Amino acid sequence: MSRVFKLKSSDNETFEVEEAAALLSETIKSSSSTEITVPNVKAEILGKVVEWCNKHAESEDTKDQLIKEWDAEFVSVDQHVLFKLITAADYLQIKELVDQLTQRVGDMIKAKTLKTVEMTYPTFNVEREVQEELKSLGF
Amino acid sequence: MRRNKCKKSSSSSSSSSSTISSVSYIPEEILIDILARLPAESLLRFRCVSQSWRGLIGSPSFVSKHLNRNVTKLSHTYLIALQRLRDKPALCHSLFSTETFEECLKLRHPLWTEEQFRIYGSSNGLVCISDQVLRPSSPICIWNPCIRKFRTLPQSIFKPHYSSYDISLSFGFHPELNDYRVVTMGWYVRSVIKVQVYSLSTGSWKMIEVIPPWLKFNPDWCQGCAFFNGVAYWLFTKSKKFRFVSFDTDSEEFEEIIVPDTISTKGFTYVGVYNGLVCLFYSYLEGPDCQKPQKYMDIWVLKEQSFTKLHTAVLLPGRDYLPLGFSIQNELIAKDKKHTKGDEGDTGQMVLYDLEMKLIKKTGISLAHDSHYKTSAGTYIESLVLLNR
Repeated sequence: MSRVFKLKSSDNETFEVEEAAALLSETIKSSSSTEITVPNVKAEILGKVVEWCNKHAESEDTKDQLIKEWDAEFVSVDQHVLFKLITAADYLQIKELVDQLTQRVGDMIKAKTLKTVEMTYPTFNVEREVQEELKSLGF
Repeated sequence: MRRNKCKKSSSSSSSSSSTISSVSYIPEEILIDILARLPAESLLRFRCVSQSWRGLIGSPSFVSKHLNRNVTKLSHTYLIALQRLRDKPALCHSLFSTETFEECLKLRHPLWTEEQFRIYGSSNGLVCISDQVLRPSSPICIWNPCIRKFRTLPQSIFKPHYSSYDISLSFGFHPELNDYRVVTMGWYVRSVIKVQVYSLSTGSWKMIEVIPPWLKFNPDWCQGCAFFNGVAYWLFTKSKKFRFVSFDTDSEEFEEIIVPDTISTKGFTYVGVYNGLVCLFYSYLEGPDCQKPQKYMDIWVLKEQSFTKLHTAVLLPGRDYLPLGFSIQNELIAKDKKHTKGDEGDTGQMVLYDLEMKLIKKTGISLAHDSHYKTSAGTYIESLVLLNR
């Protein structure tokens, strides 16, 4: 008799998840309660994470070509959604999902020019040593 | 276990607002995970994004993480070889993809032209280069070609007044001390041997003072050398016999390891590292009646100070391979030496030989001899080592 877990999003929507899917999350695994609130993650995003877990719980062979194709489609989302998914997967500590999402970001980032990267990943004190640095490296 | 550095999602409004404010800040650990997957070229460029990215990418922990990821996942690895080009320059060291065997990068160094240097070792993204024929005054460089940083070694301590007749150079990584070392052994007239060790961490040479008397046997020839796990190895020939010597760069002790009698100086030998073990590659002719001898290739590995035979392969008649090194997947990188009728196009091309499965992969890469008839090839893994040194 498998347990049912309840995941609550930041906008108060609840998702019921079967044990097999829920235990893909280390956070849930180490939680004492079956009701977990995921802060800062809205229903839309949490729903997608649950979808991923359900898909991966039901298929045993993760190297299956169909799963790979499904996964590839799953991560082909807008940047905004991608980052929110990363936040959620990271909080829930679903290693494989984090892995797939970060790989996707890595692939997207490879081709980007400096300016675009800066816009996407805002940090502090942007220093413009671009010209000198690139020249000194022979690019 | 909640990470401290995670910042809250900055947007509660719709995603149609400006790009900067609608993007969530990613936890630093995730950012590091993403960056560690990127090729060195991208990382170099992204150092210019901001001060915090610059600090992150250049940090020793990130450099380690990036390298370890490449080593364990076998990503961003290349074949490195001296190739023969149709146009000038006729020779060029280049990096090739391990999957498509396409050329990815030509290696050009400011101190030598393409044709004039030789690669003496490749480890963790660093290669050690010097003249094709080593002299006591030869400049030596430790170079990371994919980030274009290099360190020229200081001139060696020993300045001989008499001539050398053989100098060997080996380079490699010492994992326990996280240090890269260069070992040179020079043989001079009147049985003078000079062994020196350079450490990248200290940036200086050390002359090895204590040379055991048994080492002064004046070899005829240095057949090959290698460096692994902080130890340098040499295979010498002396009076038609082999003598294998090891030198631990920590304890500064020399040892001799017996080479099995079956490995004769009549065959061809090569010293390398196979699947985490120092090995001797030995190819020879053998056959009943010596009428139609067959060509064999053996791999002998060094375990606990003695050699044991690991694999043997028999070559098809007319085929001959010159071993050059081992790939990251433990295939033998070799030069196709002979050709059979109708197959002339394969001469001088690089092949990858899986010794266990007995499978050969043709790469289509045309290999060249340098001006002293030495062909070189090996493996290269991308890294950021030397970035901030």
